[in-house]
Amino acid sequence: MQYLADVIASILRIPGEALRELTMAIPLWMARGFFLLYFAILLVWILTMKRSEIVGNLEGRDKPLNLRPYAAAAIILQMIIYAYF
Amino acid sequence: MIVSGLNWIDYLTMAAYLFATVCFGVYLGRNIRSGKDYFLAGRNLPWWAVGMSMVVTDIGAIDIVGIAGSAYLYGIVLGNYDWLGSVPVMVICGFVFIPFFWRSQVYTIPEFLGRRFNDGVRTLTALIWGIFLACNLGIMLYATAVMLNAMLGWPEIYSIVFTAVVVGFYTLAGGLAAVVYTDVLQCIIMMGGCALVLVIGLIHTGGLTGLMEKVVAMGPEYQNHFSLVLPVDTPTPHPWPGILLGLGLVLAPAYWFGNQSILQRCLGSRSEFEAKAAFIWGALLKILIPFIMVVPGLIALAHNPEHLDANHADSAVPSLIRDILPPGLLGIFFAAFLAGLMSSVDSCLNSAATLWTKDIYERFFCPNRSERHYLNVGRILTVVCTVWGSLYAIWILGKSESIYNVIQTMLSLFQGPSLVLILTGVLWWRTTGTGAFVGLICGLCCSTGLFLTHVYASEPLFKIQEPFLFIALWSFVVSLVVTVAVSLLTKPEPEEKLKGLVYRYQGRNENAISG
Repeated sequence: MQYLADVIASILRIPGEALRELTMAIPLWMARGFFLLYFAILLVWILTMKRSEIVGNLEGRDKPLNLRPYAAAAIILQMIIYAYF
Repeated sequence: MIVSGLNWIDYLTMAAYLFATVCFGVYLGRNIRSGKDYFLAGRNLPWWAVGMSMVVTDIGAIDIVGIAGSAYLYGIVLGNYDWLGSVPVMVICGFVFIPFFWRSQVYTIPEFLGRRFNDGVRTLTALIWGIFLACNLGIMLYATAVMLNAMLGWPEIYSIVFTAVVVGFYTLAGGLAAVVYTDVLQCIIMMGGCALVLVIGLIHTGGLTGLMEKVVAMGPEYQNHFSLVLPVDTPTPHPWPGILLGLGLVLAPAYWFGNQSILQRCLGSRSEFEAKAAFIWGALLKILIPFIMVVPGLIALAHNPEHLDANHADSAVPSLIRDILPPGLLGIFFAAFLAGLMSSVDSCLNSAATLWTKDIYERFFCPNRSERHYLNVGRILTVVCTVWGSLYAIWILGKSESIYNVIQTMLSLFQGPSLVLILTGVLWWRTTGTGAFVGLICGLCCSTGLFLTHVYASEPLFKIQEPFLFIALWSFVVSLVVTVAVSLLTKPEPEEKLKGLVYRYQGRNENAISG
């Protein structure tokens, strides 16, 4: 079992090391930027969604509810948290 | 670390909480007449209850102590599991996937996959999830017993039996409705109890600024304790590529898009729009979780840095609450702790019974019987799962802790491949049943192979000690490539079969307001 594992590991380590080197070369500020970019893309998606997908009726409530502000708020709060910490 | 100093008020608080929960659960079960009432609460659950139930189902007693213990060792990076690992994927799930699940009127996610693909995919995923939930039930009861023993000195076997009897009783009586509405109560108690520790802890450490100054002043190795993004070569198991790609893109979506325990309450929502609203409400609540569960770990570090050892970190928060909470308030924290453990165990129990009844028993042993029949079978299987979970927990109790870790790791191996099923099943009309089945098998082989290679090779395959984030990522990639390739080589599914199940042929939302 160990022999087989060593053979597989020696093969997988070649691309694995290359990927590791690649990610090591990315500065931490840029990595943080990837997190923020992910949230920004989500925010744009939420803000551009069709009205029919985000507005609806809840039982016991007279007026229709729009979920867009709440979903956007959740993502904006994430962006603030990831920008700060 | 046994927390001494509990007085009669503390025990009275805990007893009152347990009594109220059981009575509430039994009261909710008075109108159950069919399998639909029992498994999906008659599809009559309101958005606010579903949202709170999802949040508290995700947070167990293990998390209250374990996350804070890990935060004590590694810092606020643990917050990623609730922020990046929950909030964005809950928003995506609410708007993209929930409409398909709810409209298809299924009881379980394997049932949805069966309609979208074929019976082979349904059977395999049902077996995987059925075994996962049954084993997870035992692990939760085991972990609960260990925590109760460590914190209150309760004998482990008694804790297992006590928890199983209390949770099993109200889940058996009230089904999903009891699980969800008691979760609401548990969510309020759990968040209130943890917030109490946070506020009193911050007062003791001079506020958030004082806390940060104290921890950073402890030495250069604590400079990253307030950073969510850690370098690739961090000595912790949380480097940023693993967090962003493994957690953010694979494990978190796999959990929120395909976990039966989480999604079952959404399938029981009053309407598709209420299910969506539940996810957005849950996402907003989830933002608070790291503040009330991760920050107490950092407060414990500033307050008492002597537990800096991976084996003793979990006692950091019990030590903190012993030191800062006055007698009387300790009972509220332990009620919160019990709420955390019960909310996860009841959901797991109810989902396991649903899955075994609908996907295994009804299909293979006794199809086309009355709803009353499946209600009775569901109740019997709830008892069977409770007994099985208790025996399994007692069995783990006799083994070393490494058994527990190995089982947990093994259970996480199918997350990547199961995410591929959901993603390609809903978003790409061209995915075929054969492609999905072969992709699932290849993904499982990949994750198992990587895990075994990591364990058995003379030098570990991955540089970090717990590589579950990377194993999930690579098994996802392999499963996705195979699923796409095989789907393109096989005959497309007929359009009639895909209506209402995939994005390209989606139906209308009956509650949506157009304009």
